[in-house]
Amino acid sequence: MNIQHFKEAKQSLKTRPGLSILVVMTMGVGIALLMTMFTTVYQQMRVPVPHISQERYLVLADARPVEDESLMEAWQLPSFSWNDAQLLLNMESPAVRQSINFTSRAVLEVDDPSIRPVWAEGSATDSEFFTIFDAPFLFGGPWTKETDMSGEAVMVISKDLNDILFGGENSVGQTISAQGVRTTIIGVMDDWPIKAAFYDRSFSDREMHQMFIPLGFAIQNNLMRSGVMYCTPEQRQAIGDVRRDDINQLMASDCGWINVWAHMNSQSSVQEYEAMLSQLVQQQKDFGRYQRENVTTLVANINDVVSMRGADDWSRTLLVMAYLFFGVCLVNTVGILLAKFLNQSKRVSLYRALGASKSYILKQYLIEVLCLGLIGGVAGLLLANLGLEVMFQVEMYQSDYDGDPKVVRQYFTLDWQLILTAVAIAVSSIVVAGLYPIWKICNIPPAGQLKS
Amino acid sequence: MLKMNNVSKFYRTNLIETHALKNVNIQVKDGEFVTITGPSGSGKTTFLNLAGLLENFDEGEYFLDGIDVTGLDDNALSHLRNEKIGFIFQSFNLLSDLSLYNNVEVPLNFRGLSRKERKERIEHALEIVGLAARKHHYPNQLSGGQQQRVAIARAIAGEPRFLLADEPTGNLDSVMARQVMELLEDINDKGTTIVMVTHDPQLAKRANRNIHILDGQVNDIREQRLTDLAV
Repeated sequence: MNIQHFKEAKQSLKTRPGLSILVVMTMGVGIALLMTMFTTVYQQMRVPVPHISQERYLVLADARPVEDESLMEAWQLPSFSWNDAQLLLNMESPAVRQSINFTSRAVLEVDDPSIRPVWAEGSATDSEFFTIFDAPFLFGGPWTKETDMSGEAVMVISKDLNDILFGGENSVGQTISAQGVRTTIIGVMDDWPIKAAFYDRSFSDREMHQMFIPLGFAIQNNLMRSGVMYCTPEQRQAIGDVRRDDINQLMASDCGWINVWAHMNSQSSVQEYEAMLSQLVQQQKDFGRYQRENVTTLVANINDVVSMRGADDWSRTLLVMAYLFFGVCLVNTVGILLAKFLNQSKRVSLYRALGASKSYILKQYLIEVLCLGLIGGVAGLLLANLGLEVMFQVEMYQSDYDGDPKVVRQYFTLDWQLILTAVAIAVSSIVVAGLYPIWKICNIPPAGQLKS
Repeated sequence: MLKMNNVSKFYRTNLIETHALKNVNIQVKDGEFVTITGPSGSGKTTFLNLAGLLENFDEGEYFLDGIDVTGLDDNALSHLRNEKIGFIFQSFNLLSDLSLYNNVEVPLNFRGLSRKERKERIEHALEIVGLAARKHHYPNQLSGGQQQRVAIARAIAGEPRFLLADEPTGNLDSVMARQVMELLEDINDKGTTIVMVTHDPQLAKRANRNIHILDGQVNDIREQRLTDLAV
């Protein structure tokens, strides 16, 4: 290819500019819709903590009664009961670090009466949580292992909550009231570069936890349990309100509500852990628990859990529709390019007569379609931003504007990878769409066109 | 030299096969000015298209300047067209969005010449046809005769061995036709071989030789001033 091909392509672009604009618009609209939906699904499928997720494992085992239906996917299994979680923590394996947590909610108040109380969601967890998940701290740090179950009234808060309650100042040492119990802030987490609240298994794309409290403190003060909880009707009848009534009854029950996470950095550790889990299940079967014949267990890293979960059905349906629409756009593009190119039959015939080879014509038109694809891709990206803004607003509306806009926004944002993907799709698809029109114009018999 | 031996061209449809040219044997020597005459549909333009490598023949052999074109690929044929042949059309076929300069430049662009060399050739060609002063004008600013002169400039800018003209005066009045014919004769006098299709018997008589084509067959060859030519 030489500069002359580009000049000819430019000249051709300017010929019938209406058709050039139509191609750009068709490609732009197709790319925009495709990238809007592709971005939504892609962002849902992104691993929440990419730098560590390969070695952080979610642990599950099916302790449900035999009467319960089989689950399609193992990641849907309920969490562990308190006692099973303790058994897992007590398994002796030096290569494994484990953390447990459950989701809690509390009204948080500071002494300053001008600041309104906050209804905050958070994790009741252990000190390992911060280490395993590489949580960054802005001020202070996590509590120690001794504090996990001591009942000491301490709390780690998120940067967002610190901004709300303390104006972003270092609040370590300040006291805060959680459900009327005074606690001391010992750490403020920095912005945590995670994509979703994976740690409570919700993978929520709307808001992250704002407070982190020791398990012992949450238990002693009977703080609310707000996460997903699995109890049989009989258990619920025995316990009462599983979220608010006496937590000790819940802890003694077989209700599943404790998330178990493990950090293992070798495949052999994982295999060893899986063997110990199976052994534990077998022991419990011997005690009459885990009654299902084949007990499903899961030791899956976060990457795999994200893959298993997939994107939500609505997004996937819209993505399929976007692909179909893009296909229609491509078919239209073929037609428009054909009309545009065949309109230049006489010019091409003259070029052929004057010595242009088919490969010369091919290169010229290839450059032209590549330019149209690039412009269409850029137009599509601009429109996709508009589409993503609409999707963001719809998502916020659906959550009654309860979600954290910063967190929700990242699900409707194009990153460089997506931008490059869009350009690559635009360019490659227009080349495909342009193949037939280019082939057609290259093979125009020149003699017939030049006589008239 | 342009030489065709038993060249035939068929046009086939599902139902019929039309013989556009049948066993044509023609030889055009270097420096000749040959006119091709014949009634409409006789095969004149087909002959010119075959001679100009714009169409493939079905049978026979064709030597252009000593090169057997049979079996040459598109790149080689295009290269030959660009190097050795200049086309002049009845309808001029100038590109309306290009200036005269750029119109004449078109065949040179396919040859990979430097900008300077292109400029020299374009200006020389426009000089020959007497339109150098109007090189920045556009075709629609010219008369028909002037447009055909630009087309001739485009044809000769690449300094081809052969000029193939398909009724170059067909769209011109008699005065302009005469001017164009004189221009072609001047070019021929400088050594370029010209093959021209025409309906005009007066113009046909001015050539060295006239080839008459009827029903796809060369029927009549009349020598006119062959004696003037170096064979």
